[in-house]
Amino acid sequence: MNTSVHIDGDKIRRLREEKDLTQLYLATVVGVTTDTISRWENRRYPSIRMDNAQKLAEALEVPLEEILRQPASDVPGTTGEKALFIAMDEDGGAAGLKDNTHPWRPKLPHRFRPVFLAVFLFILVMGGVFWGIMENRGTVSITATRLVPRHAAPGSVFPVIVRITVTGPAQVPVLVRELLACNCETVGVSGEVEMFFGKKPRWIGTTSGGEAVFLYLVRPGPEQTAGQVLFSGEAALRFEEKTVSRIAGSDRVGVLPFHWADGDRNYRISDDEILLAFENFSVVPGKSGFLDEVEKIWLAGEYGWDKRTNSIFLPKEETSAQQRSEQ
Amino acid sequence: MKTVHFPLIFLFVLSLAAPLQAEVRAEYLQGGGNAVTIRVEVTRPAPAATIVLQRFPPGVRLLSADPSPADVEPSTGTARWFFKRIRPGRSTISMQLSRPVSSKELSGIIRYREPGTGKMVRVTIR
Repeated sequence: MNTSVHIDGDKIRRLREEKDLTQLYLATVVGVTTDTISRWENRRYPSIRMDNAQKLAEALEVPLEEILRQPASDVPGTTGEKALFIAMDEDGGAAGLKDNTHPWRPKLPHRFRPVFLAVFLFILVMGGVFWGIMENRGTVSITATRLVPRHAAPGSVFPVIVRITVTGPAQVPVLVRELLACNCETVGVSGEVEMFFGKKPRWIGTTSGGEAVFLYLVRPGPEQTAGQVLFSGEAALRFEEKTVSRIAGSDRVGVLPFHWADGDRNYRISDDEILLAFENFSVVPGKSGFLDEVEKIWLAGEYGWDKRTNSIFLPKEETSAQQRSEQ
Repeated sequence: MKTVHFPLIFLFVLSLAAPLQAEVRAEYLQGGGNAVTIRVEVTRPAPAATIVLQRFPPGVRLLSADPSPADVEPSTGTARWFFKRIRPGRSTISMQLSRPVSSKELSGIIRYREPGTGKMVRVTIR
């Protein structure tokens, strides 16, 4: 444990000036800053570390006892003895923290200071994150976003994804309600048998890690060759009726005679387009059978639009083959 | 020591905030004779789909491959593979060609969209 002693500030200044020494000289010899020397001189009986006091005495070319507070001191509470103090600055802590001689300050080698700083910053960031988590633990909120293609063809299914994010509990039951305005119907993606859900589909699911994804298909009516499919919907926490969020994001799909994955409407599905279709809509493992058609068209190079049935997309080869067989 | 520790730790702190991005690397491995292997390395999170396009030198045909390509175009000397939900880690495509070919004669690319951002990425097979 480092010990500290009280020195006589006035005497330090007087001795320094008598010997025509500068504060810089003392600071250099003792190994502190000129500010520290100045602070020592300007306080009446500053408390400094014993080893610094010894260096200071050597620099002033006087015995150590000469610069220490004398027994006849009028400082209240002293007994007249030359006291050794356990590291507490009588002037309080704030000034002492800046002082290189403060006995509580850990002596850290220069080379470890950046590491110490980095660790300190890391702890600060982690502490902030932890505080944020704890602060939000009691509040629950839900956000929902819908993703749809820009257009879709009559009679052909297209995918719709609703992403739910819940802050608060990681696992919580959620309700999703959609309302479609169109000549169309919603189709489930589970199993081989198509399940129809009309224009007001609803789902119940559970979030995992605060997130949930709902995927469904919509088929515009074959006779609807133009217009739009309009969406509106909301997501809610099952047991918290007041926690409801409108589903944001895309809310309309144009009905046009082009495949939904054919973004630039050129009757081809390019590498970019198939990769985008998979990246956006292949989110539920084992439920991406509707993407088989995209892959088929991509491999075929192009697809055709059958005006007679007004609802069928086929790769061009198959269209041609079909037309040949019909002739 | 002074100049090494700080950047390392600071980068580690920064990496906690950086979003995860998929990375795909690929290289040719000479299999001896007519065999050539493409080794593909994918980090997590893997892209939802990946296209591998391989071009062959004039006069060289693809006799067989494992896995089989999605399509082969003899007129342009190209073969394409389409991988859905490729697993993170290492995968290989083994090819048997009509004659021995050095890896320097081969050229190929891998295309995918970055998960999360949707950004198109094109990687050259080296």
